[in-house]
Amino acid sequence: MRKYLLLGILIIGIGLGLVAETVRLTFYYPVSVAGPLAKVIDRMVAEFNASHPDIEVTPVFAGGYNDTLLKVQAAILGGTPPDVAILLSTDLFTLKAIDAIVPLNGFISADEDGQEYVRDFFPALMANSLLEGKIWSIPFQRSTPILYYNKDLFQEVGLDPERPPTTWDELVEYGLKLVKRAPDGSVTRWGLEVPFSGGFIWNFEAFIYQTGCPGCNEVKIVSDDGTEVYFTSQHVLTALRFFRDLSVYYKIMPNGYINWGTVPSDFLAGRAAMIYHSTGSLTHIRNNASFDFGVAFMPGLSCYGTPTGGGNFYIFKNIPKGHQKAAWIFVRWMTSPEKVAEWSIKSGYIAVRRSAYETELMREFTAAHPEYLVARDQLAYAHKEFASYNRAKVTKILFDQLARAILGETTPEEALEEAQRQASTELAPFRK
Amino acid sequence: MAFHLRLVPQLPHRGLFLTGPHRICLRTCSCGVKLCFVSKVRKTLRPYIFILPTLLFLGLFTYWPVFKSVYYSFFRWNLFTPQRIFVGVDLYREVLQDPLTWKVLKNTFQLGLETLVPSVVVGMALALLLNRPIRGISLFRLSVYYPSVLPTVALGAIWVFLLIPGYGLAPYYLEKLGLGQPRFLEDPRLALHTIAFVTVWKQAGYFMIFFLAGLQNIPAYLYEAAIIEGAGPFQRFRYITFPLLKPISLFVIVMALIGSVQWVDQIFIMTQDAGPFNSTNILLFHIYQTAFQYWDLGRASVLTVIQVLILISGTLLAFRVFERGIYYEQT
Repeated sequence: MRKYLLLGILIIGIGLGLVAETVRLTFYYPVSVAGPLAKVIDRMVAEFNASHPDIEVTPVFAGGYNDTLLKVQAAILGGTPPDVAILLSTDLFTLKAIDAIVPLNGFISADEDGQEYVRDFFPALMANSLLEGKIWSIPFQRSTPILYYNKDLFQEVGLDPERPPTTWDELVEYGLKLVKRAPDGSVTRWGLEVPFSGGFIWNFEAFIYQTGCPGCNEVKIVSDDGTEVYFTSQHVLTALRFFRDLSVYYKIMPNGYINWGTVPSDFLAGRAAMIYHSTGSLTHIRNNASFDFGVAFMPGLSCYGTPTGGGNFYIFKNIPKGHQKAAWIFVRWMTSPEKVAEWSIKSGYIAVRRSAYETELMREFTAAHPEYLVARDQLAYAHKEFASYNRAKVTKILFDQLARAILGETTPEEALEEAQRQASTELAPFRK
Repeated sequence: MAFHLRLVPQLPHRGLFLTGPHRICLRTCSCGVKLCFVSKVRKTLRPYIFILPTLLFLGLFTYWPVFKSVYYSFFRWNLFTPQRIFVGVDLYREVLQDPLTWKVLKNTFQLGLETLVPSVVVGMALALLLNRPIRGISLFRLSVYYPSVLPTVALGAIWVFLLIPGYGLAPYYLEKLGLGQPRFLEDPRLALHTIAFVTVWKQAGYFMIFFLAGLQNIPAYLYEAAIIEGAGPFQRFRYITFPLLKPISLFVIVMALIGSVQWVDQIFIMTQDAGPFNSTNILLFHIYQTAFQYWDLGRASVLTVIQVLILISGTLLAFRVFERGIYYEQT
């Protein structure tokens, strides 16, 4: 009996000895689109662990983006920062302000193919990772808004279903044809719905970028160091006037609050003929649409234009060097072309690397579903997403003032001046 | 007999006797001066021992944080100033000058009023309806009480589903009735009322239970006498039920008042990010927003102090009311 006991202790001892040699990493991640994506991540991590006996990553599903940021910050305050996490690409300034993350240049230059790896990412998706000449995060789950339109309804009102609107004028023209009213004047079908809710300015940003062209009439609403905003610029004003007119003057879009979550449902139910929504909703819409639909670039004024959005990998400070190295290996593995392709197909996010589109998996998939290429091609017109210090507060300030103008409480000019004034006050302490 | 519960002022002085071994030793004695002496101390100490666990937790998780919040409210402490800087009452000035603070306070009181009055009235009405010997009365009571058992988060999600324009049951039937499709949660003029409605729906059943208890305490002979005197149902309510329910009503009102500043779950669930253009932003939510979305802990502390002040005034009111309630029963 005693022999067995000793043997048992011995085995446990050896087991512990082995375990002590593996690096254990904690990986926080959010899920913020529909679908069982947490399972996909967990499966990918399990695959990584199986193929890397010396590293063991524990995935921690932490809710939405804001919840994840909250948990990461709490963990940092508690002295046990995670090793690696997926957070919004725009959280860079926040994470930098609390000195939570390390720049990745060291890891990149240590890898033989490091430069090649970084260059393979779409530049528009990399834009939010850059600050002070360094790379702070690696793109992973990224998206842009795109235009979805109902081809059946286009046909019904005499529009060519293969010719989606390409300019703001066409957008209005099509919208006026598509909007449908009951005899009492109430609207039974909107021409267009663009989400505008929850202090979320992402979709509105698209209108701003569409007023200028890269190279000739550059749009800039925030300085590169994230300490100054330019809300009173002609670009923002033009965008706001047009956005307001869509609902107030042309009446092809509901006025005021338009819920992010109900926009795809409205589209699927035929209550909205055209919508702007994330590429991440493509799979959901494809699986549920009972009609023929098309996907296209959002129409532009001077040019096409869109912000990017979504989450990147960050590696944390104040953890052992070995952990940082292991975290980098994990990030590289998760963003290998095959994994990026797999993740893109399962989630609907854009595949963040060019080479991912050359994998067999992706070629087959996009051959069958060319609509998944629209978002990738629109990246040529993509700008980095609005990001500044104190981003949550600054975007909320802009959102509230946009809302006042849209609801007719004030003029667009006054609203933007007020937003500029308040945002400047918030950003003042961050200017050196 | 109540004398033994009175606090003895010299307690710290006598506390010396209470070191471990002494106490055990003396407790085993069965007579003598010492025992009396110690037992007196023990009597004095006994209530403290009983409340010690509660006190410990209250102190650790309520009083200490409250004290800390007051302390932090004098410091600028946010993302960019992780090292706190003492700024006196600067933050109070900033917060009070922010129009959003006033909007939030207005929303808080409006929501309080809109939930308080209807929940008390509906709760009482339900209690009157369900305080009669009908078959299956328990089933009715259960169904009315049911919403208050549901987790607010779950029922918030259910209501969102019921109210979505275009698909929800409520807009569907309202449209059939020719009332159009109100955007209950998207329209800034409606959102706060919608939240108030759902809150009333949830807590009216809870208050009903108190009223039912109150009703069952009213002696039946009063009604018998009234009937003999020829009082109709309305008169019986006006002159017997209503006055005798007063103490319980006051209790319920105070509960509802304090509760109304603490509701936040349904706002979180039903109107993300405080609804269309801050129309459902109430103080508690604003504190969350300031602390955990904007990471401005200094300002969040100032707002917390305001919240605590509101709660303290509510509690003081409660004490007054309780005292009066007791007098009422004694007279």
